[in-house]
Amino acid sequence: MNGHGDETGCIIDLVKISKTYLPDIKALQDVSLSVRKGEMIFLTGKSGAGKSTLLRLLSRMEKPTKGVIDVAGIDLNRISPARLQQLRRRIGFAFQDFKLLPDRSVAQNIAMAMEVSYTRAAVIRMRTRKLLQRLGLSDKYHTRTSELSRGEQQRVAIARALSNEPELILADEPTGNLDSETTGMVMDLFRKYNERGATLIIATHDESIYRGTSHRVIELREGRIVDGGPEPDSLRDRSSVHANATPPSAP
Amino acid sequence: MNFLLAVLIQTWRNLVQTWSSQLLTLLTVTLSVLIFSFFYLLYTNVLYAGHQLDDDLRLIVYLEEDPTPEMQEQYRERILKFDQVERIEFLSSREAFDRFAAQLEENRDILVDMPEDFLPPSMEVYPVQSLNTLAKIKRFSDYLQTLPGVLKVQYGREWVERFYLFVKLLRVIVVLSGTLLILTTTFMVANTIHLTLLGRKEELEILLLVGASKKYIRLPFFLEGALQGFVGSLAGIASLYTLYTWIKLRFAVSSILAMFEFTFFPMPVILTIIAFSTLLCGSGSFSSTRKFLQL
Repeated sequence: MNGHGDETGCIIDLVKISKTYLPDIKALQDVSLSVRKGEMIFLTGKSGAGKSTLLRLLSRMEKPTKGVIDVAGIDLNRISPARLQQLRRRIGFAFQDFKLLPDRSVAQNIAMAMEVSYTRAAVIRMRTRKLLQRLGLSDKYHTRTSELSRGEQQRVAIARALSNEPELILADEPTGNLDSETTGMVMDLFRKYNERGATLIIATHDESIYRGTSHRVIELREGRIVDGGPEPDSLRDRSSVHANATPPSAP
Repeated sequence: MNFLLAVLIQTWRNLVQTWSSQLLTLLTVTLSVLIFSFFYLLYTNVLYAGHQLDDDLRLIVYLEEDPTPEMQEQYRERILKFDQVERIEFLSSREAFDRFAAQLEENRDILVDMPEDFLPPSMEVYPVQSLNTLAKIKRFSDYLQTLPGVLKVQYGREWVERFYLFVKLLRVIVVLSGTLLILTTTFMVANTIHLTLLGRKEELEILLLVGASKKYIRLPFFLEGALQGFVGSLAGIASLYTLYTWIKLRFAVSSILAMFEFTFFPMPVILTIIAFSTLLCGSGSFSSTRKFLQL
């Protein structure tokens, strides 16, 4: 899995990415972005600016209409199904709609991400308890997720995204349903993972979590990056690499 | 945790979550195997009974006159030229009279005034075991009829015809029921898995998003199907054995069934039925997953 991205220190490279939904809704237009390994980035913008679409493209839940996406040195336009699944095990995604199974317990929902990587049961239990403790959900281990509040469900989704010790963490509005205290708890946890080397991309319109931050803040407006855009040096190099790349097929 | 353990845990979870539909499918598989194997057992036993009867099957060829040793040799040569036979026995008029008299026992007095050569001489042809089809027996009988000096050929034609018709009917039933039940079973298993897949669409979507491999998702379904096939066929065979034992105890001693030695399937046949059912159900569910997930 060690690809080009690893050699240049970049984990993500987007080159002139566009995404158009039918009939003609332009979610992203010519977005270029380069993210170094271990970076923490805040993706901001109003609703409908294209934040979620960008994250979905990065985890290959969707294909771009045009442009090249390179994650961990792998061209997502050409990735095989088997390799995509391997890559997804290295990415932790906290979805905006949580994607939890309501009839399963909190522990079972979190364990899913680790089970697919064949993590030992004892390690799964240990990590789950630790994450729940850090997110203030220690007493919810056996509780069904359907019995949780929105804020609690959101934290379970975050715990699942972090459980597999991912290299890349994508969080879509991770604090949307949280009060300021739990928001602080979640952000502390994100920072800890970032300090340990994980790359984080947090899509949010909650200004309080990035105000005064030293990390890069990228603003999206109507599908375009208007502020904090590509890291110019690396992007220039990477553009030439992808000059002959095959554009993806239209949806 | 290794791959196999993870898959087994996932399989167990699936079974627990969908136990009611699993039970229904298991019942279908059990019934299908029971019905098919019942007819198959009947067929094999009738065939076996047929073989037992074949041992006693002979064609009696009535001759115009007692054949001389040279003629006997000629008959033997011409018969062997047509087909292999187990043995040929010649019976003179005198020998036929003696046998008839012996059969009459205390009523033999009725033969007192009869001439000793009133019965025609004959030869009794015992066909080999391969002569077990009606067409073959008929052909053989027709051939014997063409030999010089032959008056008539007898072999209990009507009885043999009925018996082979019955065997033929059973064969059709076995083939038809087998085909229909295979289709039903495969459909039922595939349908159960399809319903399970629909019910767990959300879970499968999440599994794909967190990086589950194709094998990790599909193998539990294959194992579920295979398990249904295995347990279902085992239960079907066990039910048939119980039925067989009951029939044997209840009817075989005092009825026509006592004439024949009824047997259950030998172990290789049992294992084949179980293996086939396991494979059929497993592959049925596997292909259903393939279509659904488009993997």
